Amino acid sequence: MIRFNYTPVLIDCHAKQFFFPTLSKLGSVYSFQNTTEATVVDVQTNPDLLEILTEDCVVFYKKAAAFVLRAVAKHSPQLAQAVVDCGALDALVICLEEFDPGVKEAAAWALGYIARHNAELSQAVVDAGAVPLLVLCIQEPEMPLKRIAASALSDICKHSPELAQTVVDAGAIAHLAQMILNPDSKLKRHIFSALSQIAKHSVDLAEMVVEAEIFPAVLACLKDEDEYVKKNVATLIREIAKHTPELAQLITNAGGVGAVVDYINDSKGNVRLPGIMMLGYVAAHSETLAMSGVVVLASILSGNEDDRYMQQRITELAGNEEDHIQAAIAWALGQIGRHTPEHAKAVAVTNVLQSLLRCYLNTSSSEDLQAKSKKALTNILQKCVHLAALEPLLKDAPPNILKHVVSQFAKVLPPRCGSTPTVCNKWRTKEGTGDQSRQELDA
Amino acid sequence: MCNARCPVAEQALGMRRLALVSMAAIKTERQNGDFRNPDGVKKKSCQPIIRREEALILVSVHFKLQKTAEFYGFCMSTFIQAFLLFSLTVLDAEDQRNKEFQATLKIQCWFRGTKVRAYLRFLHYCATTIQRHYRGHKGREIYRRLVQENLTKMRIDFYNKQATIIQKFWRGYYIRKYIYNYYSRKRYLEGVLTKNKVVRKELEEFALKSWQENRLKKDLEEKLVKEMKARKTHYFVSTHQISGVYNSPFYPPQPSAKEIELRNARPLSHRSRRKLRSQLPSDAAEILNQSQSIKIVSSEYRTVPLPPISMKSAGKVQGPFRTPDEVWQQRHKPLSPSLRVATSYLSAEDSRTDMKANEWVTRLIDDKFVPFTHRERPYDPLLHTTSQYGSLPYGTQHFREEDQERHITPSRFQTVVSPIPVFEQFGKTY
Repeated sequence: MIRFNYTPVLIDCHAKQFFFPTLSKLGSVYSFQNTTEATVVDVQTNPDLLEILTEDCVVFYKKAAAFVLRAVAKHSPQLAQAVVDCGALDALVICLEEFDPGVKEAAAWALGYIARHNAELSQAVVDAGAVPLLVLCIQEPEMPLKRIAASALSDICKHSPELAQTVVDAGAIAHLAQMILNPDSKLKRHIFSALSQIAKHSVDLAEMVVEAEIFPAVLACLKDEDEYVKKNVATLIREIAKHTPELAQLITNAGGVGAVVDYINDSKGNVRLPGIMMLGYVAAHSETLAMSGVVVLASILSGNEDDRYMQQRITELAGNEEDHIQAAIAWALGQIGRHTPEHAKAVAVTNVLQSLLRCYLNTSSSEDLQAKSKKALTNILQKCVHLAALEPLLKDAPPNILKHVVSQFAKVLPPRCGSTPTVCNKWRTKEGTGDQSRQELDA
Repeated sequence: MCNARCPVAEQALGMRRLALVSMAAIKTERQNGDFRNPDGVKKKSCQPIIRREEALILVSVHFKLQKTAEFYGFCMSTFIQAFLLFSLTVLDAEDQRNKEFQATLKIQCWFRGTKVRAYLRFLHYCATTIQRHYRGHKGREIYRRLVQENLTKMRIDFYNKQATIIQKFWRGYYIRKYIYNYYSRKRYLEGVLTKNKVVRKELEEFALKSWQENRLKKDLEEKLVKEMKARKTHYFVSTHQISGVYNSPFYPPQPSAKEIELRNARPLSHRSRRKLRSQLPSDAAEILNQSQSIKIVSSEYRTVPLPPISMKSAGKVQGPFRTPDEVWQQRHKPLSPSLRVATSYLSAEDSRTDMKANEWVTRLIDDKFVPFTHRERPYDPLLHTTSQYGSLPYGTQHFREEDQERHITPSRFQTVVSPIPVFEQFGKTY
């Protein structure tokens, strides 16, 4: 309602002393209003705003105008598109060339908000020539400007490999990589998010990120106090590790697995998700890497005396966590255990199989979790020959899981059960389930 | 064998001698008979004598030929019989004729049988010899073949064994190198383990250190804030007459911690208090600077302006100075840098290094690939030089039209306009 009071004022009044409060109020109104009706106002107001941005006038007006644009563009792709259609991008890019850091910051912020919605909008931002200027903004000494520019770059590259490539071509990686060990944690959040958005698209881009020699330094940020920094770092590591076995190996060789496991131990809730997925990716790539992961885990467990880590995983699986984290854990465990009997044993001895089974059978767990835990179970079971871990499953498992369990028993036990009396006796003690399994065996 | 045969031979020799003696006796008898009985009676008696003689010769001949022991035994008995017969015949030849005949028949029978048997034996012997040699030959052939086969088998076994050794080593090497090397993997895992341990330890140390640093910083900040607050609210301090709010006489810790702080703090001066007040954000700025950031920036980048130039003192400046108007204008003149200034001083070198770097990056190979075999190519002469119509002189003999008659003037052209100095000096270093 308020906006209708302000718009005519804005349009009619060219007396600049009224502009500033008007604009700022307008911006704050827009920023809290997320209705698409605001477009009606935009179309009328934007030309005037752009005039302010391009004109040679006082810094505060420009800042305020950029703020209004940002507030408008924030809500939806349609609104952002409307802003772009008015030609705001050119004006904002001109503002990026301004001397005043505040204006630059506001402009970069608005550009980031426009680019964040979809690939077309960010392509428009790139076409307006904003990327090299944003890269220049990163190099400025002002901390907030750096932050905003990094976040804008991250928003630009997140949509497609081509956009990321343009950002890389502008030389952003080197500047971003320099600031990894910056003490400012808010800056680090944006830096790592930008790097991970660049690295996520393709192997080449990931390799370019790695070539900036971020590696041992990045791991230090896993110990950061800020949760978002940790999460973004883990995301970056995950995005790099997911591409090729070589990259995953590079991370493992740099001691990434231990650091990530520690980070998973230390943090809580959703923050752990990228770390867990990273472990899964590393394990998925090759058997050796999975083994190294297992070995590292084992060493950490033995170092900690209590198997806190695995316990934690089990408790996580036991239902204390959200479904998607459980699903990720199940997936990662499946990736670790699917390679060889050694791997499967390493996973199975910690009683993970039962937890997985519980997840699978629990009616309240989501479909994704069920599918993932089933996949993990079958993966692990097909390799597992550790009978002690398999035994409990004989009782609880439904037939589609049980067939894997029984086939593992069939592989391990001698064809005629009489040859080793102890095994035979053990087998016979489970006669109740034995009958059923025999039937399965015959089938 | 020889010893065993010796007595037998002597026996045979003795018998032969006996036969010869009896033969001599028969001869004498015959001579006597011839003298005594030259008629038919004589003939009658003469017949057995001849036959006996014949038998004896046969015996003796046989003794010569046959030397086996059985034969000796047999001969012995027949000879004794013959001798008895002879002695009887001597006594009564006529009576004994039939007997002699029978004996002779027997001897002949035996002799002929012996002869045939000997011949048969000989034939058998020959056949055996042939068979022996043939079989020996055949056997040797089979033997040789067997040996060959065995040898081949042995060799194949040997080669297989060697091949297995080679294969074993090669497979081991290949797998260790390209597929899976247990020891290298073990080493790798150990390496990863130690690396991880080191990294984790370092990270823990780092985290501890950064935590401590942060804490120190936070403490310091808190202390500063507290101090500032104490300075701002210094008016709460108690005076000699009136005790302050933090120094209540009714509340146990008489000078409270706050009171002590206030006592220690230095009150803000009037000026700094005013300054603080002016720094408080206005309503509009508060709305605009929603981020902490812009606030910081605007406070950081408040540039100190130059001292004002008083316009009143125009024309009263002492010394060789320009007028304030002129200075004012100069100060506010917009900067218009020349192209020379606007571009970097090192732009040429920079672009050169850039080009070099770019070339280095985009270059695929340092040396051109040359063909590894130099093909012999027959020399292809130019069409110009081998043409039967001859080659054009232009380009090889001359480059200009040499036709002097067509020139408008025999003298060379002269320059009319003075040369451009820049081009004159082009390429010269002095």
